Amino acid sequence: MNTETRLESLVSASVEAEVRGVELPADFLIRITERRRRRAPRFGLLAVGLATATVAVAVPIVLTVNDGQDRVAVVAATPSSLDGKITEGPLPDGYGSEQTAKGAAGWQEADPKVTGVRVWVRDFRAPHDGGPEPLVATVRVLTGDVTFAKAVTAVEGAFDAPHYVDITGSFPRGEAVYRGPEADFDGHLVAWRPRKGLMIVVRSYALTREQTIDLVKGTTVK
Amino acid sequence: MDEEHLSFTAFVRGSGTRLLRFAVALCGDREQAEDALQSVLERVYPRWQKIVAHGDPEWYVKRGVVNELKDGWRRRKRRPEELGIDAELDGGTYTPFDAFVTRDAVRRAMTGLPTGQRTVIVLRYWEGLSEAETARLMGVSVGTVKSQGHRAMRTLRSTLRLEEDIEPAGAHR
Repeated sequence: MNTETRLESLVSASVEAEVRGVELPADFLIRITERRRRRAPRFGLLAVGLATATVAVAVPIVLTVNDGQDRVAVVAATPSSLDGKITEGPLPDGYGSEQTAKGAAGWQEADPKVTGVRVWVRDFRAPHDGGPEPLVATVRVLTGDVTFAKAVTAVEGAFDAPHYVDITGSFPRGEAVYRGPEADFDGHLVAWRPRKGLMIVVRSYALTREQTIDLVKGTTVK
Repeated sequence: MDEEHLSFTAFVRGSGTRLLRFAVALCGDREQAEDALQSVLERVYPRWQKIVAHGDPEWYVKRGVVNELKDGWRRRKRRPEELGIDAELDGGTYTPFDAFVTRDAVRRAMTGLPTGQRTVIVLRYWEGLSEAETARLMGVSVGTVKSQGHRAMRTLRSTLRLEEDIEPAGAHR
């Protein structure tokens, strides 16, 4: 296959992937005959809110969490930019209720480690009698010029490539990728882009693949 | 309920998803595609009988969608996107690493193409239309289709090569 033909095939495959799963909304016909407008997308408010949020200038502070498994450079806490706007998806029994899961102090904006992207992070830890509370999952919301490669870099701290699979079919819209346990990788990572400019990423340590997907899928934005 | 309404309803139910996918393919945005298709069908609905009488209403609607999206792009150029989300290519921090991300890279490169160029390559390589059919659907000459297609592919080649050549800091493959 020469370069030109390969590029034509890539264009076709790219478009095909984009339209795969697109179905006519149930109320589409009635919208036409009664000239009703489409409802605003669910994530639209978030995009506006985050795009206009002001970030205070501060010297980055590196915090170590989860016994050094993950490092989050907190740029400047702007709790008001996300407070009340995001609801995380369900965590399983034993972790998931307000009584047993313990989140960090709300959402914090973190160093995205890549250009053109803003990242908000929240950790969830399980209750533990004495000693450090084990990290259950870290939920990240990325906005801006978001790509999967950037999301991976934002989560892993570097671009770690070869082991992601397309799990778009598990989600109602957009696209999603997954990385599961391997020799040098524990837990699960799911990145879901419900629409352009927004990505939800969960890195879980004490959940199953299905529980991790449910956590991502159930994350909603007012 | 009259016969014309039933005929229109049957058309939307039978062809609607295909037409919506066509619109998504052209613009790469689900909401924008829905709005464009709805606008076209709202205009088609009162004239349905006449349009059917001319034959091939699906082609007529597709042509309407092409024009609607072109007009939509023009409107957005006059009124910049309110979200402020930068859709430009970052040109240097992106490395395709598997089929999924390669497709993502192609799509992002396509997002940067001018409207006419993107329309040509979608119609030619995804819809599988000939140059003449593409020209007829877009309401332009075959020469325009050729030149826009050529420019689009040249841009994609250079963009994708650029991205493949550059390895982000800290990468290990």
